[in-house]
Formats: sequence, structure tokens, C-alpha cells
Amino acid sequence: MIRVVPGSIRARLALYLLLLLAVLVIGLLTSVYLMASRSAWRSFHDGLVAQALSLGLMIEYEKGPSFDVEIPDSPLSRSYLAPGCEYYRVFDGLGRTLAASGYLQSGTELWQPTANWIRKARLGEAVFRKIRIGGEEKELLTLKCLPKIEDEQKANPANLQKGAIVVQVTQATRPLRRLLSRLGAILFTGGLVTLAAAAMGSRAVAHVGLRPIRDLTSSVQLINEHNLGTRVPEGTLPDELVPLATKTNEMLARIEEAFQREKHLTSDAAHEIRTPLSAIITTLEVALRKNRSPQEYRQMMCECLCSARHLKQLTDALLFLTALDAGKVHPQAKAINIEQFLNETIGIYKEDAARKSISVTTDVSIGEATLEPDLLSPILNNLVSNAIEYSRPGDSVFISAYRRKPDEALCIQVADTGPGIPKSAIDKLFYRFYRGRQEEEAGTAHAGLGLNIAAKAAEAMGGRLEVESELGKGSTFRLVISRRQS
Amino acid sequence: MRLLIIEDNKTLARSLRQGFREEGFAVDVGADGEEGLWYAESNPYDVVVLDLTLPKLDGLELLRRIRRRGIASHVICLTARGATEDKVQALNLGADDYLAKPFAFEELLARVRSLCRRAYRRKDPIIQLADLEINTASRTVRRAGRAIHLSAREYALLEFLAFHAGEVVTRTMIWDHLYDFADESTSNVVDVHVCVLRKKIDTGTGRPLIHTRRGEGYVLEDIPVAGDVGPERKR
Repeated sequence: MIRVVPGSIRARLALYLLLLLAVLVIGLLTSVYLMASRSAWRSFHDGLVAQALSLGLMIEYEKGPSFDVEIPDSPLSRSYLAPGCEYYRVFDGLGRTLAASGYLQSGTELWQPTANWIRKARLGEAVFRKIRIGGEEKELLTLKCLPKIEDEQKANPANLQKGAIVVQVTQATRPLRRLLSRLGAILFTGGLVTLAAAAMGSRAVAHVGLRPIRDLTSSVQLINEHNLGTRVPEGTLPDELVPLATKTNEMLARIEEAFQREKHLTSDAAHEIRTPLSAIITTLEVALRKNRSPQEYRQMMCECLCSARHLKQLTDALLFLTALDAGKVHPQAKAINIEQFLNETIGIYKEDAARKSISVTTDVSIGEATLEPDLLSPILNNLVSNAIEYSRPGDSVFISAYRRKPDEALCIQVADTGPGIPKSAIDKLFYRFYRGRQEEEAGTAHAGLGLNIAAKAAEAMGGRLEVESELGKGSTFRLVISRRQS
Repeated sequence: MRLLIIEDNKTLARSLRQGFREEGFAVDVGADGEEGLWYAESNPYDVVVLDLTLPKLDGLELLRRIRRRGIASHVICLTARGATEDKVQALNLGADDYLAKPFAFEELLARVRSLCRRAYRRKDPIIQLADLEINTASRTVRRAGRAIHLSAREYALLEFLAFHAGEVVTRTMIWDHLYDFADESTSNVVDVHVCVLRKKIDTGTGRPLIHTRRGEGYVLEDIPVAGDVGPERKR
């Protein structure tokens, strides 16, 4: 495809500006030329008319049936005629030539006025026509003139019947044409110069006009992965670019946040893995520094085992998360008895709950549901263990499963009367490696992955995890799975 | 030398404490930032081993606070986060050294010892006093070319006296730097240890180096006594 419009905005703007200016200049100069030539022709014709009229004044009525045409050959009478008026001819009403000069005397065919012509002239119309005499263009005027009638002649009615006479005069058009062509040349040259200047000017104007875009581009170009904190300045931009800059800045903020989270994620994962690893290595190194009693060795090995188990749990969790992230978990859905499933989950944590004297009650109003047990299990394990762990002794945990009214979505809800979660922490709850409360007990499996896993698993089930919490009153986590289409 | 370990991973903290105690250090352990800060403020530790990721009070914040309060203990930071910014930030906040987890215990030990020497403005690991030679790197002691076997505690005491050679070392100083909170014994035990050390170092040489300053404390010094034939002190 041929590109008609150039690629850069600057070139485009310059081109459009130039085209606009060209149209304006051409239009202006053309109208100037037309007006000038019209008025020049008009005054040329006016001159011719004046000559014809002055010629007419030299004609006198005779007493007879004809006119007396006397053109005095004096310098004075000559002066009536403009310098260009070389030829003249005078007709009477019947088309007979009364007087003529030069070529006009020879009465070439060209000069025979038609009846129509004479009629037009007699109606008082000035008729102009271009003719060539001896290769030179002349303007020919045919005009009716009323000869001078003196008072005593007026008395003679015959004179009045003779009517009007028709006068023809010519004048060379060359001087006028030369003038006009010079004017045309001047205007044309002026136009060309103006357009050339406009071509350069339009580039400059486009350049200046595009400065904000260039500024924006250069400030965006400066941003790379190392200085994502930089923002595009919005204050100095023209109105049209502000939305672009705002959007760019918003996007940058999101990218920066993602980058930061990614960075922290790696660093957090490293920390979570290195800490138990470091404990194992140091414990073994210290153990090997000298000979110890079997009891001592046993104790140290137990500690190592504990850390190693923690590492394994962490690795399992990370692998499961990675698989969830990559969408590689394809568990089979099957009909599950919700109540039974819940009770099995609660059974795992019964001892922990009893130790902290936390009461766990359930209310299940769903019989069976088709769900993926491999995904549901980690979610429930996590929610229940969190509820028990974060609750204070004497608190209670209430687990219910029901279908929500309007949309019939399946809900499994774990509510506790624990300390609640501050608003600032709720958004971060589902972040990987985020821990609501710093663990004081070493070796616990809590690396801040549980809720992240639960949320991802809920997503993989086509549902989501909702959380409501009030500080001091407790938290409610709810797994919501909309009714499936299948 | 007295060491404070601030580490929240219990297994690691326990192993470090054991390892350092077996090397003759007096060791206290802070399990979180607040506890660590309390320990650091209440005792003049020679070296603080500080984990940067701590519950309750972040390691970097703890470092900032102890430096602001003018606590001059040497601090070696441990962290499982490998980020350069963390290291730079820790060093800029007044840490003296830095070690990434997981580390070799030997390396940590060597670095802690080096910091101890620095705490007493000693760069040479070998301390020489008359014919007594203490190698603080290999932790061996020789008197007149003869190797002397000392327990970890005894060695620590001798090293402490040697670091202060020529200066009077009070019982309180010894108590503060060589005994940790787990030691239930009274300051009387200092005298007992000095007594044992003196026996091992000075007996049979005819030229005692450990002297008692009554009412003040002890000093490790080469003082000529009557009948001394030490070449440089001969009158």
C-alpha cells in the first residue's frame, strides 16, 4: 500500500499547514489578479468610451439628409483622442460609413458591422470586441453617439429623423496586457516565495506545536526497569496529553508495584527456605565439632528433623502454588457430602482447639455438592487452622455451609470471634508470604502461604474467597462457588 | 567474650548458643527484636549477632536504635535475604560485618573472634607478654614454649586479661564480659577461675604474670619481683 500521508506527525502537520496556506495564497493572489485586471480593463474601456463620446461631439448635423463629420486635424482635436486610439469610424443609422481613418477606411470585411451589432449599439450598449489589425490586438468599441444639435437645427424636424450615429474606435491592448502580465508575474513570484516561506514556517510551527509530545516521549523513554519510581510530569502538559500522562503514570505505578511484589516474593521465598536450611546446617556443624553423648546427638537430630519437615511443608506448598499458578492442577470433581467433609477437616484440628478451649460448631444445610476434594481440602484446612490458631482461648469458631439466596451460590463459611484483622492488613492477607502476626514459635509451617494457596485453589474451583473482619470482634472467611453451568 | 545472639528461629538460636558456649563465649539469646533490644541495652556485649528478619522489631530498626543510644558493641548481621540493598543498609546503619544465611559456623566463629579482637583494638591474633604467647585464632596458650591446656572459660578469662594487659580488670568487668544470664553463680566464681588460671599459667615459672590488686581487681602484667632475673628488668 502506498502511504500518502508521511509517517511523522510533524511532517503531517507541516504538510496540512502548507496545503492550507497554499490554498489561501493561491486564492488570495488569484482574486487580487482578477480584481486588478477587471478594473484595468474597465478603465481601459472607460477610456475608449470617452474617446468615442468625444469623437461623437465632433459630428455636426448638416441641413441635408446627411451628417457633417468634421474631424479637425489640429493638434487640439487630436488631443481628444487618447494616444492609443489610432483608428475610428463613424456610421449613420443605416450602416453607411460617414467617416473613417486608417485601416478602418479600407473597410475590411471584419469591420462591416452586422445589423445586430448596430442595433445593440443603438440601444446605447457599448459593445467591445477584440480584433487584429496587422497582427496587433486591438480593442474595438462600438457605441451610439448623439451628435451635437444646435438650437436652430433642432427646429428642423428632418434633423431629428436622421437619428443617432454609431462610432467605432480602437485602441491597442498591448500596454494593458503587458501591465497585467507583469502584475501576474509579480503576484506569482510573490506567491511562490510566500509558499516557500510557509513550507519552512509550517515545519517550524509543527515543531514548536509538537514540543509537549516530544517532552512526554523523552520523559517516558527515560523510564526503564531500574527507575520505575519516576513519573511523567503532568502539570506542564497541554490538556490533550494529560489523560495519556495520567494513564501512563497509573500503568507505571501498577508495574512498579508488580515488580516490587515479584522482588519481595523471590526474597521472601529465599528467606523462608534459607532460614530452616541455616538452622539445619548450623546445628549439624555444631554437633560435629566435638564428641557428644547420645542424648545430645538425639536432641540435635530432632531439631534438624523438625526444621527439615518445615522445609518439606514449605516446598510442598510452593510447588502446589506454582502448579496452581501455571494452571497445571486438574483435580477431578466428584459428589462430596459436605457435612462429612467438614467434620473430617475439623477432626484434624480438634486437639488444637481443645487445648485453647475454643469451641467449634457447624451448621450445614447442603447435602451433596460436586466439588474437587483436592482443592477444597487445602482451603478448608487453612481456614479452619487459621481460625483456631489466631483465636484467643475461650473464643468460638462457627463453620457453616449453605446456598446463598439470590444466586444459589454455594458458601462455606468459617467465622471466629477472635481478635479480627486490621483494615490495613486485609488487602495484604492473600499476598504470598504475608503473615498477619509474626510467628513466635520456630518450626511452624506458617510461611504466609496458606491464604494465598486457599485463594488460588478457590479460583481454580471457579469460586472466590471473601473476607470480612472487625477488629476485636472476629473474622469471617467465606468460600463462594457460583452454581456451575455443567 | 560476651555475645548476644538475636535470632527468632529457635533451632538456629539454640545451636548457635551451644556452639559459641563451647568455644568459651558467654552467650545470651534474644528471640525477637524487643527482647534483643532489652538485652543489648542492659549489658556491654562485645559482639551482637543480629538476624535482620525479626518479629516485633525489625533487625534494621533494632540496629538503628542501639546505635542511636550509643551502644558500641560490634554487630554482625545475619540475613536470609540476599539483596544487596539489605547488606548496604545494614552496614550504613552501623553494622560491622555481614553474613548471609546459610553460613558455615566456622566462618561465623572466625568473624565473631575477629570482631572481638577489634573490640580491643588488636589486629594481631597473637598476643605476646613476656614469655607468654596467646594465639587468639587457634586459641592456644604457650608459656616459655610449653603448651598450656585451658578450659574454654579459663582461656576466655586469660584472653580478656591479655586484651587489657597492663590495665586493672575489675571483677565486674570480668563478670560482665565472661558470664551470661544463664550463669547462676555469684561473682565469687571469678576469683575461683582466676585462681585456677593463675595456677596453670604462673606455677613453676618463678615469674607470675597475673597479679591481684587488692580492692580493685586483677592485672596481667610483666612486673619484676624480688630475685627476678628477667633480662629487660635487670637493675
